[in-house]
Amino acid sequence: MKRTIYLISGALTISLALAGCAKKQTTKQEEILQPDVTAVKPVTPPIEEKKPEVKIDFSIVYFGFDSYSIEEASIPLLTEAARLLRSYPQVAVRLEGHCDERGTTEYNLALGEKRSAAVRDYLVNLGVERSRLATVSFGKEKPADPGHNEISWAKNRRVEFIIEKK
Amino acid sequence: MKNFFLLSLAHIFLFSLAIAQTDVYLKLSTSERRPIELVVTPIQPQGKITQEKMAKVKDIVDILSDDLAFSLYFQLIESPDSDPGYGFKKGQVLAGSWQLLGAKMLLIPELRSDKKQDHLKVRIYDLGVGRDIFAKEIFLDYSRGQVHRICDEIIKALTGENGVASTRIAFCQKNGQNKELAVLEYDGHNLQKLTALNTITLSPDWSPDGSKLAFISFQRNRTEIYSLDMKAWKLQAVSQVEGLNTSPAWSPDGKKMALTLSKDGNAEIYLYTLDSRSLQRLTNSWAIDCSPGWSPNGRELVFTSDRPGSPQIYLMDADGSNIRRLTYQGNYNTSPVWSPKGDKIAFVSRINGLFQICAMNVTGDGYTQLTYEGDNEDPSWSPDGLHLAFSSNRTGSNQLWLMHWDGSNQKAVTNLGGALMPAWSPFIIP
Repeated sequence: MKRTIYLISGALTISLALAGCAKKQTTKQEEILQPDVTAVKPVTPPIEEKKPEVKIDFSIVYFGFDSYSIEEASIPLLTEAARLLRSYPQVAVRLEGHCDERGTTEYNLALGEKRSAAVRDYLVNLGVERSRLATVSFGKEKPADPGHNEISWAKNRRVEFIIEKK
Repeated sequence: MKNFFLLSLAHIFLFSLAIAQTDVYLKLSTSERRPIELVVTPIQPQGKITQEKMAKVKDIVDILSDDLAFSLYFQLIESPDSDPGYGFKKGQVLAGSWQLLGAKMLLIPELRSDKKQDHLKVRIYDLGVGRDIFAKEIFLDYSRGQVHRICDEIIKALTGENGVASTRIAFCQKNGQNKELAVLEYDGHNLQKLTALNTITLSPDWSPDGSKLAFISFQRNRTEIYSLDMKAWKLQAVSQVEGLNTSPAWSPDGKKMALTLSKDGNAEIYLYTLDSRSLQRLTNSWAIDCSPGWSPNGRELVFTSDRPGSPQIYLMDADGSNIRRLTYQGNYNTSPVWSPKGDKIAFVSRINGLFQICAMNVTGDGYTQLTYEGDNEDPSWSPDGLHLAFSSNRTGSNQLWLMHWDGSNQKAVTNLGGALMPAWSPFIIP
């Protein structure tokens, strides 16, 4: 599990990842009870090549309603993100916190900031330099899914990793 | 009929003859203010006026009637007859025929037309004492603004209070993924776009003199606070520190701004003194503290905090001391705004999964739900504290709505692609 990374299917990404134990994953997925999990699949690792340009991708971290606690289901992907960041010290990321459309604009801006800070603090605890982790909140302004239902909302309560420096 | 005051006003074409009755009408400004029953009579043509012109002026008088009814100072009674002669005899008011309807006053529009101008004289006739208590003649330019100003003059003359008919509402207009600042008259007309920054713009807040708007802009891909000087037409950065820069709230004296910043680790409320550019931290909690709103006397701030585990409304003194919790109903109460009258705080509460505008006394009691349909947020008080603007998605998209302080008379004032975060301007005093 330690080295597993989840990817949203359809995203144009290459990832450095290893598939984890399928059985254990199911357990994890049930705990999140979020639709993003259904869209997630383990990806087999590409052949490691020495390239000057690093193409890495991070998974999206999801949250519960009005919550900025890191869920247990996010721990493997944050662990992997920390490993990636430690492996590629030239990479800096911007952690973009988002909320679902429910709730008020200003509070959601603060909530998104809390979410991105929670991810940042988790990564700092895993040995990533704080200076490489910027936080920004978009509140409910940039939903990943435009729908107005629980499935869409769950996809929108998230922190995305945006690579700033390579 | 003791005192005649000739008020010379800024506008060169405006002449006003207001007859002040200082002792009689002051009671209107007390808290037991009762609306005055008023009939707007049919337009009284002075000489020959075309039907076409009569119809055009009728539209103007209708705007005035709407303004007066909205003000809550008047209860409008419909005239039973559209014949200008009804209730008059040889130009004199037949008081009885109007009093039968329950009317206390008449608004008598008189229209006179010469080659160059249409002259509208607006008379307020007190049926009890049998004479005009307000009269004003204008050269009609057929603008809505001119009508709004007459309404505010009538209210000022009769009650001593400032009216809101000339006020405007700034808001965020949705434009695809972006939101831009725009402003319109309080009743939704004459939309004027203020920004074209091609980004997300949020939380407009008027300076107390109405000359500037502070707001959040994402133009550098993060929250930053800017101020738009609407006279000099200049945009100025106010706060661009690391992390959140949100919820600007100008102090009543215009010298400070309360802000939400996260530069010290998480969302806290700060006081920014504009002249000295000094920053004072007011809250200190692991939790979210945001959305400060000033008491009208500038001594206290109301704000949102999730320190009890869910967002709730709190009060503190303007130096950050004496923090106390106001709301205990439900698990989501945010966006508090203090009434300019000082007595109420409006806010957003999540009720049965939907977001509703509520109000309470500043002591935390008297909780009242004001909206019931769809999701509603962004409450903003009118400067007289008698009305609230807010955004609602009850018709399918976010639009600006108005209602009276008690939740009555809810009506949409926009029909745009999306409109939210209304900020009601201060009084516009000529």
